Amino acid sequence: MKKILLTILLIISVILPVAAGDFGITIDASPTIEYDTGSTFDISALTYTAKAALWGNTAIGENLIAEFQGGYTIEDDRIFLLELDQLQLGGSFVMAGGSGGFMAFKAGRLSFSEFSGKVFAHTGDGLSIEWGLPLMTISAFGTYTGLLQAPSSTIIMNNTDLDASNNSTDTDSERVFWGPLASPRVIEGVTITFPEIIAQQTIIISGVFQQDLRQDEDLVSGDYTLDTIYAGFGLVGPIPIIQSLFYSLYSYGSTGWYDTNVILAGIAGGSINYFIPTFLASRIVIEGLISSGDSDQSDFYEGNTSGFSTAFVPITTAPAGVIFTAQQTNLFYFSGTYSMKPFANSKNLMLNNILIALKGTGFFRTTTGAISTGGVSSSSSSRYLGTEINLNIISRLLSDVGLSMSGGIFLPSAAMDSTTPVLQASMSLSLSI
Amino acid sequence: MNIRKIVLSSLFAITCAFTYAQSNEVIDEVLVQDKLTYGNGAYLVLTASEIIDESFSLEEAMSAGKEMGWIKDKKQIDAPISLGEYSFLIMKSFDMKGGLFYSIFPSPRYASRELAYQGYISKDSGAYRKLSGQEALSLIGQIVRKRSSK
Repeated sequence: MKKILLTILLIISVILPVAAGDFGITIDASPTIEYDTGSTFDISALTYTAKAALWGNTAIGENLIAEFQGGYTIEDDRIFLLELDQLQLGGSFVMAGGSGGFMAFKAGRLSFSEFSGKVFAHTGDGLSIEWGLPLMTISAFGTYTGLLQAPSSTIIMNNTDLDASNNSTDTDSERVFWGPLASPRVIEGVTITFPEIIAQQTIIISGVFQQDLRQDEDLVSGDYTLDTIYAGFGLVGPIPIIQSLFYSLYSYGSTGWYDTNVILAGIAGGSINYFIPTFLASRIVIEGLISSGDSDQSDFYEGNTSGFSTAFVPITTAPAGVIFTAQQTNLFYFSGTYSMKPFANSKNLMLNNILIALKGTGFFRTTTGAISTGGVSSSSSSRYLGTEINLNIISRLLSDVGLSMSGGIFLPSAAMDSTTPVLQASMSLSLSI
Repeated sequence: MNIRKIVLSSLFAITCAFTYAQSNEVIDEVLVQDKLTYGNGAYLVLTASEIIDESFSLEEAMSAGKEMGWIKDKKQIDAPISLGEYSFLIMKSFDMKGGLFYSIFPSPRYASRELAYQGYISKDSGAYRKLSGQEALSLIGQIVRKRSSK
């Protein structure tokens, strides 16, 4: 595996500059300070991530394109990590006969996702196919996650995955390039989209299947392999009464099994987007999500003690907050975001590109059961967990220099073990060479 | 009207007609080109930026670009020009400022990215890809329109 990746890196870095594609290097550095106002401030509040990545793409004939991206990451709690982010061959072909149909595919290491991104959105090795027909688009993917490095994986479905994620933060100087590999799983997805079928409304039907390829004896004591199935429905479109007002809705029902337990759970959510391009390119987004929990869980992962396990278990985590990062299990949140370009009318590109976004999110748990981040007082029966407020300033200062700054505060409710506010500030500088 | 004025007016009309015909011929040729050539690219950019006159030939436009160091000496007039090289010619001819790396290493590689950042190139801004004649005309047309509106 290591030899293969290094060979691929070498070949691509030699071939791409010669081929009629493009290539480059990106460098991103992001220091972050997070400070619990109830504790003494010290240097441990400062964390950082820096990544240098080589990317490239080249067209192969009229219909095919090959793309590559690999990078080297340095973090405060891990020395180095070399990861192949993308190595894919893609193509698109118009169907013969003038029907307007098309077929597109991508194969290799690439990003896979179901339509909402709340159940599964992750890099993997596999194949994605999209087939466009006059009345519908059918897309399908199949991916394997066992060749990714564990630190790059956000697939945490049981305590073994959690342990691997925690242990992958390793400062061992011998681990200059490689962490342990991620859990071997196969994930398949099928989506049928009926675009603008009635009154510009798009209907989406989706199925996602996840199999854990490990044996129970490969897992930590008390863990079992977990296979899951998700069936989803979505609705996307404009709201006809008001111009520039759009909505999207999604819902998934899921089932799965571990040991003798059966999962019956669900998630639903949606957003409303309102664009006001004439007023400083303003955008208002109202978003909400609710996912089922299980009040009788003894442990957050595979902790069901009675009846069906009703806690929704997503394949990948998609936290809504930056400071409060609970995954979408036993959670209800409601957020409002306002973003604008204060200098949208300026002819100076540097000023024109500045985007400011203010977001407020209220977090609740749907049952009195556990949430993924812990920290909830066992004696509390309150559903309200806290409120997070974030301010982001994003700018592409020059064509090759980007800068963003963000600040946030999480105000925990009385249900949390610690009720002192947590502050976070971060900056991200990116260079494109 | 004396005879001298008549001769001069006629000469001016003939010259205008010739230069008009010359630029039209180039544009007709460019419109059907799948891959823009160095000669046509140099002519389009250098005439639009008024560095050379429309009456110049493609060879003269190419020579002017090489003299100013914006086109490499070894490049052939009929060879396809890349998007990066065409963008570099535009940025140099119109004296446009670029990003951090363009300022340090002015080159075709960063020129096409700069034009994409400024909104002139909306699709693939890869410096090494070839561009069609229509894309080249559209690009130079946008630049001229934006600069004349300032």
